[in-house]
Amino acid sequence: MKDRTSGQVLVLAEKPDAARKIAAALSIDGRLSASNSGSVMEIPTGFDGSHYVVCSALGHLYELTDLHKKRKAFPVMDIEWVPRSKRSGEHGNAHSGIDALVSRKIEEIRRLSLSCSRFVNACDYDSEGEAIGFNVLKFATLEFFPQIQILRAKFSTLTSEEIRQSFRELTPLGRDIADAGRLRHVTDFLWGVNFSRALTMAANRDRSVFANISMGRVQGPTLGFVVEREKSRLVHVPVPSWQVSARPLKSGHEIEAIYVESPIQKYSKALLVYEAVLAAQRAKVEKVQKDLLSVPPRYPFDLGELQRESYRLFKISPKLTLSIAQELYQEALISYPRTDSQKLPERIGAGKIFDRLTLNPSYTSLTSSLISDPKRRFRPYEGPRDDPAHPAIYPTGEIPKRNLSSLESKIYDLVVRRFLNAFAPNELVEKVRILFNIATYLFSAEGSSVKEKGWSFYYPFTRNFSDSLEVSFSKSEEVEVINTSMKEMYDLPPPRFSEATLLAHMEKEGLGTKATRAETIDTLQKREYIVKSKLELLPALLGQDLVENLETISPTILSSKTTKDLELKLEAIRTRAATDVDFLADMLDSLKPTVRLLRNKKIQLSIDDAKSIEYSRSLSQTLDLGTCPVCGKGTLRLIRSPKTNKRFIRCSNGNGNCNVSSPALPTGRIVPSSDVCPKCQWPIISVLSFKGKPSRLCSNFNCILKARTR
Amino acid sequence: LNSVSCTLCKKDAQGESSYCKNHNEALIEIRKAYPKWCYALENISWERYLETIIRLKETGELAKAVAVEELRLQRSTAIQDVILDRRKAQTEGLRQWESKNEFN
Repeated sequence: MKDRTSGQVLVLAEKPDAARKIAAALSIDGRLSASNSGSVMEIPTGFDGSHYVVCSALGHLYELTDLHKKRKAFPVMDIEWVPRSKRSGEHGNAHSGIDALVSRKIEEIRRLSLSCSRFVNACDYDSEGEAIGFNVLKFATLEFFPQIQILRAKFSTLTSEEIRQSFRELTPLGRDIADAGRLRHVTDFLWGVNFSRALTMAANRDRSVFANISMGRVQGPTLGFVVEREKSRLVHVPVPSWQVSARPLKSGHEIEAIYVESPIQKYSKALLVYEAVLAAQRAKVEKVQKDLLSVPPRYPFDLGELQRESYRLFKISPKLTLSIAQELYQEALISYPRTDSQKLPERIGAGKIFDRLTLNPSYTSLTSSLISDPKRRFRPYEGPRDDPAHPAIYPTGEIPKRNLSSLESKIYDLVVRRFLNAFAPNELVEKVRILFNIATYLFSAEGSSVKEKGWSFYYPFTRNFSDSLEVSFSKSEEVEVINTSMKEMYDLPPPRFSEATLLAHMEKEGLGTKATRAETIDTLQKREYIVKSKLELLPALLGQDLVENLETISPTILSSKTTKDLELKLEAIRTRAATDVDFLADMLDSLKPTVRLLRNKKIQLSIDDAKSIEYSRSLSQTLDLGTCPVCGKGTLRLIRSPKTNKRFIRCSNGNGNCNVSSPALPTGRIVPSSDVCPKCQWPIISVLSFKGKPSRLCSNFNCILKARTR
Repeated sequence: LNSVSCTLCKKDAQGESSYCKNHNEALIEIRKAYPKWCYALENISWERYLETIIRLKETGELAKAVAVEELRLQRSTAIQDVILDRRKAQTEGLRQWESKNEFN
């Protein structure tokens, strides 16, 4: 064993990119030497004289697994943490490349820890980062070397300055956030595995076609929202109402004035007003009301608001927004995006950020204009929400070292402008309301105009206040009225959810976390429980069937209250208001009866659903080889079975009773060709193996000829 | 074995209703909106109301399906009533004729 008193500091980053940034920041000159190009970076003399060894995880290196590994048994209560590579190998869907990498990483960290006296968790400072660091520490290092000193580096940006500052102020590793993170995994695993097994069993009782049903803790209530919304649209019955409007005319300009009691619920009354106004033809100005409003800036970005804005403005999905923001964070261009905070504390050093932004040609004029504005705020305008771990999302001011892609530029621009907007003065808006008296009925016309531009100069993506009336009126003035109209209206059904509105609804209902909401919506789409059509989310037949069945047999799975309560309890653990033992006991108390309830239940799925599940699962791994030689209608397809993970060839005309099938070679990349076998007429394929030359052979396993031409 | 299917789909009917859960909810919504329509248009008949909501694009698909079915029922009931009335009148006329002949 190497000398453990050498004072080496082992630093663990969450991902390789972050590790390189951290290593560069810890070195004296802020750069990585050529020798430090591998996965482990050694800095013998760091900026503070310490000997640093920086390595990285690959996200989660450890995952939960069922101890008994009986896929049909539930409830599952015995679980354990195992290396990710071990778990993915269990279900026959091993990603050999990644698994080997995970195993190597674990071994590498274990080896490095032998010669280190201190361990610094420098993963992202949130519950996931804490859990990643804690698991590595517990299973890869501490298990063997409990005497290691364990510390935490807390930073919100990957700038050298902030990383160094966090290493100067290293704190002992607290377990609260890690516990909350790990318990979230335990809860999600137990709910997911138990409900998925129970639902799959219930759906496949007395069925010939196998349907694999998965359901997570947050997915159930989220799917419930989409189905419920669609149902309320389907049963919607509109009610009529009427709006009477007139257009007073002055100096050639006509403005629209609406009857103040609109919408009118009774047809006879609407007709009475309309006929009276039509006969009158003159309007008298009853009142001119002008209000000067001081509109404050928009709050700094938390993740949800960034996702909503990027969807509203550019139709970028919340999941993609998060992944772009994460990329920008890893390049030290913006702060950590997974935050709930709407606050920009003093410690972020806004002055320095302004200075750096001024050097960026894209923002020089904008930043200079803000700095020179005498009315600018010295303290940013902040929202009420706070996050103990991170401030709101802000730009670091560093100039991008590469050309950002179009989407990256859009998100980065949003973040910069929203940051500048928080320091800009209020917008002064004049609102004008004119009341007209037409045949004793009051009509109102409204308009607004910007009197003094403020924050909207920096953040112009918001509501425009320039719908001014174009012409001014004075009290008791009489004007002509033209174009009187009576419009019949019907109340509309509630709008379908878009990804952004569903995300906002989940946030409002307290479902999931800022980091997982977008992922949940994406998973529901991948599992074909919901589908996206023209940016709207609709429940698929399978999703509808599931919710309808669960409403009767197990409403807890769809209840947002249960999930919300669990989130609150996890938050209590984070703030030490509750213990993990109490939490687990409560969670199991609510889980067990619900799962047991599903034991003898049956879920009615229409046969089409099951077929569509089987079809869609296999579709993702199919390859068309050529026309079926037997039926002549279908196409021979290479399919990987989701159940056995083996490859086989089958005719697509299965519904037309063509049962042609054949096993396929288990390995090698299969490439179709336009040739057919002279003996059996099956398509000829090329098989490219890892080693050796490609082979051309008949795709029919039972072909007598099986002519192989190299 | 004892379950009854919804008139409009294959799903099980709800309790006393001849519709499944979803179609029954649509019927409830139709019935809930009727008083509002009566207020707005000052006594619109049930039949006319159903005809109107079937035509509107704002009406949900389930509500439309139920409205069509209710309208069909309404009309067939009305026709049956007419047939019954006629039969009653015929029976009455026959009885009168018979009693008259008997008297004679």
